[in-house]
Amino acid sequence: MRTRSWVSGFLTVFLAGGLAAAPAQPRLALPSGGSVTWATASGKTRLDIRTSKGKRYTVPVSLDPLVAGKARTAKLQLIGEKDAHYLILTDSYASLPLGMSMCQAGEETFLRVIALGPGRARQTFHRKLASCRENIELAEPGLTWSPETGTLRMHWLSAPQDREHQGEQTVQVAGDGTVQVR
Amino acid sequence: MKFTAPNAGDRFTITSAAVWPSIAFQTDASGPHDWTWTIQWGTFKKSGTAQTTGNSWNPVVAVAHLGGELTVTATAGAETASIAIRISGTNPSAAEVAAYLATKPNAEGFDKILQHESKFRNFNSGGEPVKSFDNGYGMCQLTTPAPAYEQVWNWKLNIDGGLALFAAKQAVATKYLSQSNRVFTQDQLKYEAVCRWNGGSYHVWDAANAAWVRNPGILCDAATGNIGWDMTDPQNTGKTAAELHKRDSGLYSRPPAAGAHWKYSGVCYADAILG
Repeated sequence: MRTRSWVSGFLTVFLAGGLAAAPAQPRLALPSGGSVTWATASGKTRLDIRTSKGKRYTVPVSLDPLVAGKARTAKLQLIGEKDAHYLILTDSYASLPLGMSMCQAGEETFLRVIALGPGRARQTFHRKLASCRENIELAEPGLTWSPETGTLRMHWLSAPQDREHQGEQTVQVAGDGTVQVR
Repeated sequence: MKFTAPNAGDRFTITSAAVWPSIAFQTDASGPHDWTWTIQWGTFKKSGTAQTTGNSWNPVVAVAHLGGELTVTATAGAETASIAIRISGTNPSAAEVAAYLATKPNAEGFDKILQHESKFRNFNSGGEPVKSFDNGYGMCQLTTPAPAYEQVWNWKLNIDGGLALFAAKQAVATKYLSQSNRVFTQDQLKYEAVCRWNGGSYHVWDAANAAWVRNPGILCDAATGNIGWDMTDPQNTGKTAAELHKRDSGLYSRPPAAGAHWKYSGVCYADAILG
């Protein structure tokens, strides 16, 4: 079984815009030949997806109030893809800090499955994966993706409240990008 | 009917040990009295009533942990009178804070955060609780969860609120350091918890030596409280702190922009605070 761990994922793309006030649009190259660019504003991130065959999609995804108000996407990571069918991504942002510098250097990270349909793309699953503000933290390895079986397993060191007892969650991603939560 | 004590506008002071003042309200009337009181500070407000068989009342229990303007109305028969006084606070000494924290479990390192962030100040020079620009109240700048009136005025309760947040960081730090049955020292736990207060993990596992070590990939700007550089970033690799400071320090007045090669770092925060 081929797995890809959270930490060792090699497709993390850091913004490469240098120090200029208006950095270049970040771009994540997909192994299939497609790409993703993104921009964050007003509590939403707009993902612009181009498949290897040139088909384009735009998908707005919501953040939560624990993301810093003027945050831009710090990094986008590809966890898995099935060309022209779905993408599995994580997106991370600076935390909204609390008093006494709490979480000023923290991050909020979301996992998303984006299904690429014939007419439009849509988010079929999302989950808060890591959070300084909520004390959610992945274990090592924290995220394991098996493309052969379409199984995505999340394993936390400190789990979200609804998974506090299990400490993990597994979802099944079908060929069309729909997700069944186990 | 009028109040004979205290005088209108009198100021009563909470001690540095968070002991509330005794205030004797008394009227020149006789017989049973009904007392209606309201204490208010900013958006915080609390009211209540009391009954006494005579003409005096001490609100020490009613307004325990509260401060601001206290208005009391006394009613005896058909007569009534009102008075307003003020209750203000006194900051604890560093020794008083340390002594209080010593009674609390899982507080190691939190004293350093308090010293660094608020210098143990719960009150301003006017004896009112300090309030930050983002409505953070008191010594721990409590914002979320929203503090109770009592947590704003009683520095011990304020610390309890901050400690609850710190304890959650320490719990995750303990899980992190003890994963796979790895061993760690109390000092490492302190650094890990303080780092996580600001964000991120302090240690990485050195498999070759089977030991937790400070993240070697972070170089800190010693001139700041929590700014550093990821030295695995090709734009930083091979450069000295002085070179990177010269390159980036002009941008420190705002949070790092997208694409910046410097960052806020919990590792640097812990280094700056704990030494």
